[in-house]
Amino acid sequence: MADSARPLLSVIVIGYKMPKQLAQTLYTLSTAYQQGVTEQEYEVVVVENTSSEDFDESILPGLGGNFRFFRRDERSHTPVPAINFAFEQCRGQAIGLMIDGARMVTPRVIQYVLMSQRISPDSFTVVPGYHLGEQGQHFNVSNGYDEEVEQQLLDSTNWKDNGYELFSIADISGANPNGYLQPIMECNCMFASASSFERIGFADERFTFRGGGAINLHMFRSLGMLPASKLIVLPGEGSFHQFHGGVTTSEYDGLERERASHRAQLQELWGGEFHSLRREPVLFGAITPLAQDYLAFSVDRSKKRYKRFKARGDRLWEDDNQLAMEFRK
Amino acid sequence: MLERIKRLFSRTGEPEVRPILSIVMVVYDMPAQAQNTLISLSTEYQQDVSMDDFEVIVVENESSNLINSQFIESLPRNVHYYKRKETQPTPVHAINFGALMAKGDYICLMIDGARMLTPGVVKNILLGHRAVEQSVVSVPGYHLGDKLQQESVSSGYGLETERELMRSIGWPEEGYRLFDIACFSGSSASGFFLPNSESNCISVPRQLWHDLEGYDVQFDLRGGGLINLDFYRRACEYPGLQHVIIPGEGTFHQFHGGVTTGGEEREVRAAYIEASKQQYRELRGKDYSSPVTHPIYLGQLSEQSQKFLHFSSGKWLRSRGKKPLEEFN
Repeated sequence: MADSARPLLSVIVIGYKMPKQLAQTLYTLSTAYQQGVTEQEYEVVVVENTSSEDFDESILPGLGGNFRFFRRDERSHTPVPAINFAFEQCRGQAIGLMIDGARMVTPRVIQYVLMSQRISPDSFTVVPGYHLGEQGQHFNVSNGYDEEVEQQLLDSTNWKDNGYELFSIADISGANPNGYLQPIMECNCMFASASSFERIGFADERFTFRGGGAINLHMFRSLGMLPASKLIVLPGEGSFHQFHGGVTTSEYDGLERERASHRAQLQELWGGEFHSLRREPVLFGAITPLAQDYLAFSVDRSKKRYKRFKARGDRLWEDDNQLAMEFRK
Repeated sequence: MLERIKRLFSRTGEPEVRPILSIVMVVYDMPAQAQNTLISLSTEYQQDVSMDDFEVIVVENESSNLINSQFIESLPRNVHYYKRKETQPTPVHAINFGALMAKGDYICLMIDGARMLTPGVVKNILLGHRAVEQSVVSVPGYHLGDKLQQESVSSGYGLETERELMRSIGWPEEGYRLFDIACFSGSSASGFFLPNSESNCISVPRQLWHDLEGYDVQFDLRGGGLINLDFYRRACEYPGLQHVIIPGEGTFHQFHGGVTTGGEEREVRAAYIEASKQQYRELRGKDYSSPVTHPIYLGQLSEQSQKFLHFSSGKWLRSRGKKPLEEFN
């Protein structure tokens, strides 16, 4: 692709040991599925760390000419080097980061991200997260939830033709358990300008825990706390986690211990002040019928938080306030 | 804030820049209400916009009750005032004249100058057009008071009640508190997620205004009949245009004795509405119905506006036979 044909957006998708899930995710990023966009407008940069279960990249030409695939040998257990390698490949003015290749998205994510970049080059656009299945998947192993059950769920819908049907077989993610009108803890499908990613130093190499530990939470808050960042949430879109035995999304002995070490690293790096991003979101996009239940849920939770904060005299969006105070200094 | 607004209003003689947005506002026999609306359109009140971003074109049809001339002389440089002699009892010529004077790329129509705004209206209209160039951006409508003014007038609602209500929220200091003293207007009563019948603050690309040939002068009933509804429908249904709704902002109708909003006896009003519907049928060959659009939603949701989002979500769920979450308290 010559420079004149530089895409507006590069979407990074990291894969490791999830061939089937990655294939479905990549389908949801193709122009066959995404609405109102062309191959020229965005590229998908897929980076897979080698494993015993590699992805079959021969399907990529069938998804369109805007997919670029890289396979790497990675000795460590963290995706951080793969993410930074992917950043080096990106040619777009804006970049999307999907650290977990198992997340399928809804059909207007790319179109709305491109529109939100027009709203402001400092747009930090966030797609709310969901889990396929009725409960968070990490609780579901003991209930018999596995890849096969999930595939049956997917097959019960018409998701390839209407991706919004994913809402009908999903549950809200643990990253935003109170909906998207409250501070969000992290996002597995987030978009910002290339220069914003550069400003936060891309992916911090200190996150060496298996799976990267809390690297995604760290990057989410770092991007969100850039003073110029304009937080945009897409209430009618979603990223849907498919079951694949990931580090924090499956159930196994030692899960809690591992999570505790992730939290400890995060608090150490943030001086004990790590928390959800408390900046007021701008909502953007259509809300299709199947997404309305989650809107109702988010509004209900937001209303309760509002009442609680009002009673205490607290500010709803404290990070906005702090950044404004720092700016005045 | 009022003092700052007064200082702003007395600044004149600065160089003019071609604005992005022209807001056309029609006034007739409502000086006090029009002044409040103009305060709500000032850059002291409207957030994150400058006088170079937008102009306000005030077209006042002559009456014995004109806007105070001192107030007009003090208007900021981005507000242009025109007084017209109108021989017909309709605002249609005034609004078409105002649009003719517009210099912006986008034209926002406010056919009833008695509608005050929340502080993010101008910013969000600009963002809406920036995100989707070919868009019709509309702001939902409210009535001051806890009931529609045409109903509350019979139980004593009037100018003094309204002044007291506005004093109770300290307007114009916190513009979003208008939501605390208002209810949805009839045309927006179905909420944000079901079709609305009109908007009293609707912004369109200049080209669309020309393609639609403005407001239709055939609507010659006193007050214009269904002229605003007709324009809303024709704009929303124009091929290739995206409808954008700003759910976190509003226009708030002040009581002023308008034809359909409490200024006439119940029977006179009912007869007028019937005549308006009849005229629409004659001109368009069918009854008026709200346009069914697939809107994009845009903007932040102030604490105060959330009860209306909750209400809208409940309305939508009920329309689908679902049970809404608990009522907003």
